[in-house]
Amino acid sequence: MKTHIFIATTQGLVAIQNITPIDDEDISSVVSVNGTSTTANISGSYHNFVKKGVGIIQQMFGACSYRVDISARIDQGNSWQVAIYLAHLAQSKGLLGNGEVNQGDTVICATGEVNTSNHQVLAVTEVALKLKLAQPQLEQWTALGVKVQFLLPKANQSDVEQNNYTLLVSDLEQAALALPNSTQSQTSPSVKSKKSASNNSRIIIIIAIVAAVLVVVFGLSKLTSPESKQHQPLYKTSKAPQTELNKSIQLVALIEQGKSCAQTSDEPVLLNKKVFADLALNQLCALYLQTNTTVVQILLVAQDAYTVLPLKQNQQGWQIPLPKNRASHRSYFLVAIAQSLSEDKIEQLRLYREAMPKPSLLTESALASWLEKQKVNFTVYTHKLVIE
Amino acid sequence: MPDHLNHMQEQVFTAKALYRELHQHPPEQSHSGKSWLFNDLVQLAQGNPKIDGHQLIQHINQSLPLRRQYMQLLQKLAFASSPVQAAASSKTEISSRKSAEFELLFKRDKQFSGQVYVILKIPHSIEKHHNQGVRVNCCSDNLISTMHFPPIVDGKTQLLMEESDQKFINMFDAEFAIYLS
Repeated sequence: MKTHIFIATTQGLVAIQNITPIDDEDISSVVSVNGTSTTANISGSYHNFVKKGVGIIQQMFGACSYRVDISARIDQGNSWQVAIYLAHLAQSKGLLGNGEVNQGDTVICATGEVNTSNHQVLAVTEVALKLKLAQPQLEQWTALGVKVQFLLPKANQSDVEQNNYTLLVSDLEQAALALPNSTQSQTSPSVKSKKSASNNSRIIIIIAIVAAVLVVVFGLSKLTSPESKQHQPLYKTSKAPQTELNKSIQLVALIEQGKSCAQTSDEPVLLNKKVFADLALNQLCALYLQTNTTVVQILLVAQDAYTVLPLKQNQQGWQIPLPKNRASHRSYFLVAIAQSLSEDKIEQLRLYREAMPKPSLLTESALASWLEKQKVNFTVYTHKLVIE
Repeated sequence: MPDHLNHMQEQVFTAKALYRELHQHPPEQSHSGKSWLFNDLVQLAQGNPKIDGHQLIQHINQSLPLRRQYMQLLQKLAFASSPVQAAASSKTEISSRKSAEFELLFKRDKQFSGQVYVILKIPHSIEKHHNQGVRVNCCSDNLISTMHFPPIVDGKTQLLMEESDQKFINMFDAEFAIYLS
């Protein structure tokens, strides 16, 4: 079940076929037509939409440059921005389709410009024409059993007659709800049901507050009781495996000798209270986390991006991928887990991350409390790669 | 054959060709239906993106006098140049071109192996490079090819090209001189 994202243009729908991170500072982000070397005229604007400081994509999804393949040329305007943002989000969740729609898939068509400062969706021109041109295709897909939505800026509300497909969005957070697996997103084909979802969320918040008050009241009374002193901190679910996890972990850096990584020396990184010492990126060739066999999975959770990555193990240990973009410091958590988390759980962790307005809002304790709910033994380590 | 004799022969040939052109209608112009003026050569050499570079360069490559004139214009008007590369081996393909004013390099696309990103870095670019882009001319003894890069942003501009494209091959052929305008 894939989610296909289409850009609504004045020439009809244009499919976003693929997004590939380039993540090379020398290469600018590019929009290519049908996988060929023909580039769309919006490539320059897309580069700015990605660029940190001006755009939002690098900040949200990590890489400093991307290649986007679309099915037809787009020559001007910025109304592609909402659709491209959604495509990046779908790509990060492993949902993005290639524009070839099959039964059971989801299709999201979008038009709208993004204010990159406050993430509001701005009004665009020719919305009625774009919807009119897309309408026959939307009906065909619906007949095929495809879930179809047409996202347009709330500021354009008066320009179009709303129908079953249209969904008005005022900011990127609302637009993101259109994707499957997002909270409240599954049943939001219209503004009306969006409102009911909003009411539901209020009820959930009230229940959560009541539950939190109860937890605080009963939690405090337990803490003051003598047996509560035996409890481990929140993110240590059991003492024995935790100690084993801590004992046998070592971060090894391969540092270049001379001017290339042809010759390297192994240097262990100091560990103090679950924080590995900062490491300079400049001469770093590779980075491995070595653990004993009680650790069956290591997750890398970036602090400065929304990346959540299960690491691969080889003979040298768990390989930590080094950032290609070495222009700024990179902070991340390494989560050593004694029981493997399923793909679904990892996906849930990604969604939990993406629900945060900024990646930097993830703290060690927040990560630990999420992991605790998964009922696994784990330890969270912190590490920072720095530019000297 | 010594160089000065080569130049002498070329100059005599050019003078005769120009003399003939003054007295006869050049056949290729009447076939293409478009006549080119000297100013078109000047505009192309200056990097004006409004000139139909593809057609004009075809025309220039078919005419020795025009090629000679265009080369002289490039030498006078180009923003920067990189001469034919002196190589210490027989390998003619190079991975980058560097001069005091610019650097030209390419990187392969990871997904589409036949495609390359050609990156042109100009640290101290001039105003027209930010407005109208940069024209790169690749010139050998027998052929001139030209391509237009988009406007410079953050000190660089790039093209996505097919590796098999002759223009890309020329750009990284040590036997081609490069002129930027």
